[in-house]
Amino acid sequence: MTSIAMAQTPPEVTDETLAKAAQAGDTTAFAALAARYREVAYAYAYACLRNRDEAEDTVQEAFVRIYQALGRFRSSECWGAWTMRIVRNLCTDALRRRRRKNFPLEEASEVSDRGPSPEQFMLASARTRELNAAIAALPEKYRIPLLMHYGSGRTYREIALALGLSESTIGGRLAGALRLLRRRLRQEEIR
Amino acid sequence: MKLLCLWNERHLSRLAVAGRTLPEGSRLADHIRHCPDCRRMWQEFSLLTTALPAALADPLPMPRCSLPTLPARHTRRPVLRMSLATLAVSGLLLATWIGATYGVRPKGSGHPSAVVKVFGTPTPSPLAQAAAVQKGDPARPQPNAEKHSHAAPPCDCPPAESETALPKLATLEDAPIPRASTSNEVPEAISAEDWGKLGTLYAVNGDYADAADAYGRAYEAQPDPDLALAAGQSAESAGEVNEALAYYLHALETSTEPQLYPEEDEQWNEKLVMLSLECSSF
Repeated sequence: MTSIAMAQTPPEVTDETLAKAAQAGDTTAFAALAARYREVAYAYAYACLRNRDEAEDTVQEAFVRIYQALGRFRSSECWGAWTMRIVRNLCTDALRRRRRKNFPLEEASEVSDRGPSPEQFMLASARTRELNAAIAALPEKYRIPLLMHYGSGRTYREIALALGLSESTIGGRLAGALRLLRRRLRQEEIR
Repeated sequence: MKLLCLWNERHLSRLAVAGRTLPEGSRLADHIRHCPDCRRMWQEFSLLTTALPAALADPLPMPRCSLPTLPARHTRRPVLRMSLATLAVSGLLLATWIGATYGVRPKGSGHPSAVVKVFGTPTPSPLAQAAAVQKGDPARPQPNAEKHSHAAPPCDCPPAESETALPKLATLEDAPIPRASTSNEVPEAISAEDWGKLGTLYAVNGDYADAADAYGRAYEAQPDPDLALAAGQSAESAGEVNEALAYYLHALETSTEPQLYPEEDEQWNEKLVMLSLECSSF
């Protein structure tokens, strides 16, 4: 069978077309789908777990599961939403496992994850550390869009897809995160 | 801080997130010119949006490599990583065997090498290209970029997602004021009345999450059951049922007019039961 997914799949080829081809056994179609969603999936997983290794493991596990479950995908569904739902569920599982091990989110934060570079840590200003602490203290619904947008450079559209929300909600949450951050940092200044 | 300044905070944060400048000649721009609080607020929002990409940038983004080659950069957990890779490949082999035997796999190749190839395909993400050409889609922010080119979202829609691990609420003891932890984050002393007015403004504009927050702060400043009720209604409209239930329980507890919320009021009890069920279903 000829592959419809070339090395660079044109964006006009919809996800659902590719999914159909993948279901029919076209592995390059699945490769193209994975390439489309790998980065946004990783950005979500990283924002959620704050640990690069764990995020990569989760995303890879998610794509293995997606591949295994290809037969269950219905063409009436949205491929992106379906994929991201699996990624979200796996991230939730990972967080649950972490909680069971009494490994709080703060310990797996960005700064500790970059552990091997003490120079970076030394060079990082106190302000940046304060900012990171304030971000870690944000409620999850604000923190994840913020990390995905400013940390991983994801668009509103991609974040909306990853979280299963509308783009306008993402805009509102980013603005809300900014307000909370400012208040918290001002409070730190006063102390 | 004045009520108008509190109201402006919302507009300014949205403008900053969208990477926009103050609209020339607008009432907001005029206000900022004369109000030091709002001017400082705007500067701080702008500084934050500039500082965030640099502070949060992931120095080592997702690699475009296959499962077997992953340990090249990750030397901290090679055993676990290898075992995960082995597990994944074994799982795929098993799935292939089951598929070949019982015919339940997707049609075509199910060989693990195909999947490994999937992860190893160095195809650039067309989603980003598609997103960029999409009309009205916000551009992705560049690290250290001073401005972003997002279109400001018109409104907040009620969140449709379910937050993880929401606790079941049964009594007032289990129902803390949802915003209590952030109540001391605002250094300025703002009266309960002003928070209440702000909540009304948010609610009128359909911004129910912010309205619930403002009413909640008003309730913290002055435990008035009407404020708790308003906070609960706003939270419910925003889809935050757990918060809503907490506020409703506070409203019932602090009410000095028991005839308004009688225990035998079936409608009210039904609503609480429904919300409790909704909360427990998360």
